[in-house]
Amino acid sequence: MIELLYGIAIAVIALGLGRWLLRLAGCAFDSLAEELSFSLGLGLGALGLVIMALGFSHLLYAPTLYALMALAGVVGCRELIGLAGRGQGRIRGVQIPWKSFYFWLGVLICFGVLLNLLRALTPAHGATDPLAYHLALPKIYLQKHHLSFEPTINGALYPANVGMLFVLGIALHGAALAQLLHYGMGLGCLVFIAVFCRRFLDLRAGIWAVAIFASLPVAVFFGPLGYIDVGVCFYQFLAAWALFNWLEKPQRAMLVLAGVMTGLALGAKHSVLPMWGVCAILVAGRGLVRREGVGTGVRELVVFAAVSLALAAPWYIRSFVESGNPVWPIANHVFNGFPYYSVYGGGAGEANAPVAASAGWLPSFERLSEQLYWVGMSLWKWSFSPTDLQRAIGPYIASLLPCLLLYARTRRPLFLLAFCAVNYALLVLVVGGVPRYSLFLFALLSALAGFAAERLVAGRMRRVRGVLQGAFLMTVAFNLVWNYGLAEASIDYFKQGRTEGQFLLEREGNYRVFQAVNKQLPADSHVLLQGIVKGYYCDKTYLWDHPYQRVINYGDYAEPRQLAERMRELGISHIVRMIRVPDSRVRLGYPQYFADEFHESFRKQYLQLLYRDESYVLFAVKYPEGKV
Amino acid sequence: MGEAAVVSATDEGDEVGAEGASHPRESAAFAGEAVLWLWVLGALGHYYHRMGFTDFILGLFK
Repeated sequence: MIELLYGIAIAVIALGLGRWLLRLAGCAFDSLAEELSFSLGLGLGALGLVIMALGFSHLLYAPTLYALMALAGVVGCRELIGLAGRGQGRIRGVQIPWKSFYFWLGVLICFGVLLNLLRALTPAHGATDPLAYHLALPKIYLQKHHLSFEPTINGALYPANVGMLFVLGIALHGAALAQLLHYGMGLGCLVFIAVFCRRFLDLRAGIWAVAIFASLPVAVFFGPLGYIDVGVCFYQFLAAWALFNWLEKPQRAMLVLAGVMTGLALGAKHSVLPMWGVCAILVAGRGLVRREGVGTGVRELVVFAAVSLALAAPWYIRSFVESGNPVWPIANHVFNGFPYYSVYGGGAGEANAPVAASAGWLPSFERLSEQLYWVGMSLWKWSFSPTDLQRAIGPYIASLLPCLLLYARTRRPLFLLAFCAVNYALLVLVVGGVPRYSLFLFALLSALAGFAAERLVAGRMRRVRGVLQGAFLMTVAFNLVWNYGLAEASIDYFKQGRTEGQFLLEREGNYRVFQAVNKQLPADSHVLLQGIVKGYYCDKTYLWDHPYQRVINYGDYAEPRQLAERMRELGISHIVRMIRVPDSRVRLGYPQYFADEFHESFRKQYLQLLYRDESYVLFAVKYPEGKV
Repeated sequence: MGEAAVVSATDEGDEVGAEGASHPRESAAFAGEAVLWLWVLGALGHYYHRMGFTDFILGLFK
């Protein structure tokens, strides 16, 4: 629970730092809540960028990060005192009667938020991606004290603005703090949605919208884990918000802020690129629509593009320098980058994407029909028959959006709807059709759905509004039941007061073997993980043998001797192997090691068993010429 | 804030059912809203029924 104090301290420091930066930029806001929202976003973004700079400078040490936080605290201290003074009087003025529907909706939202908080505070376990790379790479960076390139690990060169905050969390108090930071960014999104709605739609719509976004299965499930997608949503939402502010009131400082937030988002995930394009078109188009001349549009576009691209560029330049591909390993066949089984354009990503990349420049009629089908049907499928949790968006958006046919009659909701429609089409056609990659869109759609719900209960049938409000409350309560199910392990963990080690021994399959690795092996050991990608709990340096990487591929060697030579070249001293590789991974290309003739022959000649449990074994590699 | 303030808090005064609307138009709008109510309640019901909450609730009374 000490992570909570760390998390609050980081948020407060970020708030002060962000407010200081906003004051320097001269941004003016509609309300204190809006100012606080952007202060938090900018502050966390700035911390992430400084940590990235420390990483490039080989200065990633825990003491350096503590010093950074202290310095940021000093810089923002005066701003915090000012903010506290301004906020005090306003909070006292807020009163929500307990009989109100909105009060009880707020109570249910709080329950959900608390259940997720417990999950965020639980030791990192279970889900693959965080323990394989979202949290594992920041831990490796801290061990090596710089942003190293790990060519076997998926995502090794992805832009990592959210990952830099995970570096901070892991350095200060371990993976649970990193999870808490991600969860905190989700909490920030809920506040942003409410404030955004108050600014552009209305506050009550905002409360509906918060409940809708807080109930999205994809956000509920992934928010408290060490993924990055809610963090990306955090920056993207602020980027869209700043852009809308600028479109309504074109001040240069707000345009720069929109550029900064878009740059922070673009430096957090590749999937932001299409949204960047939409924003750039809006920036360039505003001058033309208002008949301010082409020159104005070009100047504004240059400002927006320069700021956003400059902030994101270090990640893409790093990727290009390390691998020859700025978006490695995506589109690797285009850039001819460091060998890797390309995720898009002939890779595994296609299996997940409803619409794969076009074979030629001009799509065929069948292809166009397929694309139209997916654009038309995706929202429905994500709502009512999602194939997995990363596509599950719950029922509210699809059920409430049609109401906009009746209620979206003014400029703001119509513009918001059009912006969402374009981003939705891009998500389906370009970003692989996975809502998890574009959560900001669902935050904006939640705002629209909230607006529709509020209009519906305040419309001509308002006398029976209790029916809809009651039904909605009941469904939110149902969501809490599911949420409780997800949080059950965490509740037990805190109730029973078990240690992190005990919990992980029960819950994380490879934790035991990695404990053996960490305790038994010499400090300079270099471990090959066979059939395993979740390397977070391995404290020694390691590499994957994932079929997509091109560093060590068993098919390249005709005899065990050749494989041993390659392992020797790579300095591999030990192997951690999964005893029975699941069928899904075998289909991916992993060998079933103990049933594979080549690997059995290799084992008999070169491997010595050091440890085994029911699922994993640890071998030492015995080279004929002696030590590596 | 009272319930009456809900609509007026929204932007640019496009209040539903503004004065002067003709009766047939008003009836059509009412019918439209009624359809939307049914649609929303039906969609929510469909989703939570598929999620197994009908059985869950019935199970509570057994």
